[in-house]
Amino acid sequence: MVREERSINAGSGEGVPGTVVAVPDDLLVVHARRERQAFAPLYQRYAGPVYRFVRSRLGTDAAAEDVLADTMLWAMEHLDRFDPQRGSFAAWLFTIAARRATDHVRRQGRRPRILARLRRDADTTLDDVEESLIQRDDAQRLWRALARLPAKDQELILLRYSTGLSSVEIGAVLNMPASTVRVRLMRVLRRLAKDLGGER
Amino acid sequence: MSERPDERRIEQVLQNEIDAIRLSAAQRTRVAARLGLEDGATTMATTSQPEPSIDATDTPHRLPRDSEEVPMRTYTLPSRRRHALEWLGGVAAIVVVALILVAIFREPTGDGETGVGAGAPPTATTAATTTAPIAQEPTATVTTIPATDDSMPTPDDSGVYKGLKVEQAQQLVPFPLRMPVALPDGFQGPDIMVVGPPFESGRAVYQVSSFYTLTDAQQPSVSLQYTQMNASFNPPSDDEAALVQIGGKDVWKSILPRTDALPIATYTWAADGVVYQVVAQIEGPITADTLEAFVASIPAAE
Repeated sequence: MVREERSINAGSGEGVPGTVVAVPDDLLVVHARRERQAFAPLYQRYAGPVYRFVRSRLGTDAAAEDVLADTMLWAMEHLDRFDPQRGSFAAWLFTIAARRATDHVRRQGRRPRILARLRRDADTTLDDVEESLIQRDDAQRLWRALARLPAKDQELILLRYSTGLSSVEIGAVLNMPASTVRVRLMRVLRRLAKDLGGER
Repeated sequence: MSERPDERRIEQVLQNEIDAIRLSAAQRTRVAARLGLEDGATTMATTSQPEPSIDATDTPHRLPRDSEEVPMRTYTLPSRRRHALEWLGGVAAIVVVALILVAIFREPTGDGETGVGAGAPPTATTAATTTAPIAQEPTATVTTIPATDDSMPTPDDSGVYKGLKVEQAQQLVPFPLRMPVALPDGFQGPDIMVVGPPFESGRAVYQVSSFYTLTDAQQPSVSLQYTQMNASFNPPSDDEAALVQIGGKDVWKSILPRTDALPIATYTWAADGVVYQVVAQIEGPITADTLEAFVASIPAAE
């Protein structure tokens, strides 16, 4: 094996052995409250999931990028309002993201362009074309059905499948008990199944 | 969904669709710039000794000497290393370390309740460590922890205690240190660093990092790191992490492949309010099996 002259702690410098410990969010928040640049690890950790959530809610890259920036900026400047006793940092951040996304939709004066998401099919081979088309059709009908849902149910679905939040955390974002999240999620999925069945 | 789709099929399609959404590196950098954050992939401030470039030409890892000063400096990583996994495996860790040290620079050493050494010192879980082939029963032939040294080293200017022995570190932290009972063959250590407290208001958080280094002139930089920290624990968020049982512990195992560097293996678990983590670059004698044997040799919480 070609050995690399690189220490796993190289980032901390030779003189100060460091750590690759996955530092908990709460601890990172404490640092970020003191030092603006210290928000960077939180940004790196959550930029992707927040973007996935708002992108699926808003439908365009540009809008999602704007809302991601708004969300992160607001969170960065109001970290003192985050109370770890009341819930996780992730739930707090996605609450902000959900509000920012809703504000964006309101400003646009129309329903979310949830159908506008385009899937990258670059990796599709010729042999996969038929299956891909079937999947594509399924996906487009699903996005259409999602767009017909009430905004709160859209949020519920997208939080469930784009953020990795637990039912408790989703409940914190949507201001409802975790048990309600689970029951409501089941109902929404049933409704989607019914709607999609009716489309045929 | 050619027939009426069931909920599971809907979940599957939905998950596939959402998983296909990706924040590009360009978008990530653009938004970071809008936030006024330095692009962590290229530049960051940290504390270091001379020339700690993390390129492949780095000098071997070396633990600090007490007499060494730790000046502040800034360095730059090559942009070509901006791979997501690389970021997770290396740069994020660098940022975290830098932030912890920066925070220490700015933080008073605490009050009477949270200060170093407050209260009766807990007892170390393991009083002796041996160096031996990891698969064998530990013997007491090579390395033993010296008797308690009354002269506790003083922290450096940044408040970091370095070059500690287990018993010295134990006197600084309010939770029992759990040390491995056996080391991979040829490894020496630990050389211990303690950071803290406090990081959180009203709660003293200590980080105890133990470094074990291979005593092999042919591979002078091979080392593994074992960290104990009394912080809250969030399971790893990366998709590669898997929950496995090692030595009676539920351990999150993650082996992070990197595009132009050796993979990094991470084993994380938590017990009794303490997070434990073993991290090493997979190279030479350090294999996943070696690390898992090392993890297994760390006593589980009682």
